[in-house]
Amino acid sequence: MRLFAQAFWLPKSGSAEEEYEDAFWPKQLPADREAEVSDFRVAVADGATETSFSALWAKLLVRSYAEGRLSPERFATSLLKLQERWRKVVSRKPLPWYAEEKVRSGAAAAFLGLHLTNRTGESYEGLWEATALGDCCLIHVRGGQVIERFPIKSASEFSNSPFLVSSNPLASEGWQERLRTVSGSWVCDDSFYLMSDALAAWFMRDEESGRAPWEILRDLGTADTPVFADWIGELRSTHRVRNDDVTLVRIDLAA
Amino acid sequence: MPYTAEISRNNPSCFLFLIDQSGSMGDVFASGESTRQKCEGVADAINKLLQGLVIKCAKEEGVRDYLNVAVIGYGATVGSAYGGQLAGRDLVPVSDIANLPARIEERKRKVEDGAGGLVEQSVRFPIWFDPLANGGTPMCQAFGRATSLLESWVLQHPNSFPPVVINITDGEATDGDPSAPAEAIKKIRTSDGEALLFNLHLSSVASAPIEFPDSESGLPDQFAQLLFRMSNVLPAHIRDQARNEGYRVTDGSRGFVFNADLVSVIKFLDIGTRPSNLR
Repeated sequence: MRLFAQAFWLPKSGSAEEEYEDAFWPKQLPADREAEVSDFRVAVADGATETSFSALWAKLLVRSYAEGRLSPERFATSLLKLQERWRKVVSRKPLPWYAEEKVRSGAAAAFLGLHLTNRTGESYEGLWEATALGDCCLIHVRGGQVIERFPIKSASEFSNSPFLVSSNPLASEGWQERLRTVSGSWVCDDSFYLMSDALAAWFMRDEESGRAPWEILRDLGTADTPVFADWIGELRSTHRVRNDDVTLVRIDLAA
Repeated sequence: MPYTAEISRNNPSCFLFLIDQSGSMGDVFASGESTRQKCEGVADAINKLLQGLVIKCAKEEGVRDYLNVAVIGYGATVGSAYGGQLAGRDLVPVSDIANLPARIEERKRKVEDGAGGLVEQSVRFPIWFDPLANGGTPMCQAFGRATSLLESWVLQHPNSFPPVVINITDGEATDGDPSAPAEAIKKIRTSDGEALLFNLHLSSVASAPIEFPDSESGLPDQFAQLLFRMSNVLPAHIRDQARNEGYRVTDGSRGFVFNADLVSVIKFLDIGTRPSNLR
């Protein structure tokens, strides 16, 4: 397959770039439309504001998925290793009493991964599989139509308390029942959009109002379109997007 | 819609606790299983609450100043009830609360060990506020102090989530009718709404607490009715939190508990101070 991927991200308004707590991986996305890839994994995670070291936790999750370890088949063992890794990193130096308390309760994040593969002997069509815990969303568009929304199907399903995967094994109990997977096939010219919840909620509301939000996402980063930060700023100031970290990974499958 | 402003470092919110420190606070709680003095129970509850607020605002780089918090005592005197380096200070940014407790005690607590059992864990327990029970109940003065602090706070934070005032008392005011000073607090406003005044009446007789009532008809005496009338109707986000905690609340429920035991003090403080919209 030949794919062209691009990431757009922005911290909450009022926060610095280093306070961005979403994550995506790979950091370097394939941007050469001519390069052939037979297997591609990408992930997005949304670290919870209320927890500490959640950016680190989000990054550990997306990296592990993109590097092929946090697959649905090996989720349980990989998750335990990541939880252990997180604990080691955050315990490296002595912490003040409040940070210690917060570390004890763990960091939390929503997570979404997408795995694209070629069909045997083909490079113009193939299969995809997505894995999610929480409210980061995947949208699959073909021929100007949304053909998949995952794991959330409509704007009304977003809540203030989604299930999040925690770096604390006790706090993440029950993830097995909440882990969602879905699969399908792709063909040339399909697009996939991976989003953290604030943008995904906007997308679904906009679509439910009869508009075609994927056209805006499709054109982002091209000439004559607003800069991502300005566009999100406008959506936030008009209360169409909640003031939250925003992440979008766009994948176009080229012919 | 009021009470929906984001709470951020640029737009912090404010909690002000008024603690009755009159002589009768040295009595034990009359209801509930506790045999502790009311002033001790309240001090423990406030220390736990301050701890919880600090933890909510803590991130890896330190504590974010989402909140300003005052603890004002009223008894023999009216003034800041913080101890240690914060003594004498009124509204304090939450990062100063985090870094300047009067002392840190070591306490033990039991936590799940992940294998179905419990293990004892040693935790650091910071203390900002010590119990005190002495003198009368100058509630009107305390409300006046709150009003002057909050009037200047809202001038500096005109678009913030409005201040929340929680008054904890076990008896009648000894310096007059507190209705008018209470109304003065509730008139203080930001662009997001008027300040909220909630009242916790501590038990002096052994009977079950009346929590979040929506009418004064079931309340046993004039003083309880007065505290009920002084308390704001719960805004939607607090009502939802109370409902999630299993309380029966209606659209008319007020931020008031009559005959509170120690358990209901802690629960009420937790529900009434859960920031809904931290960014």
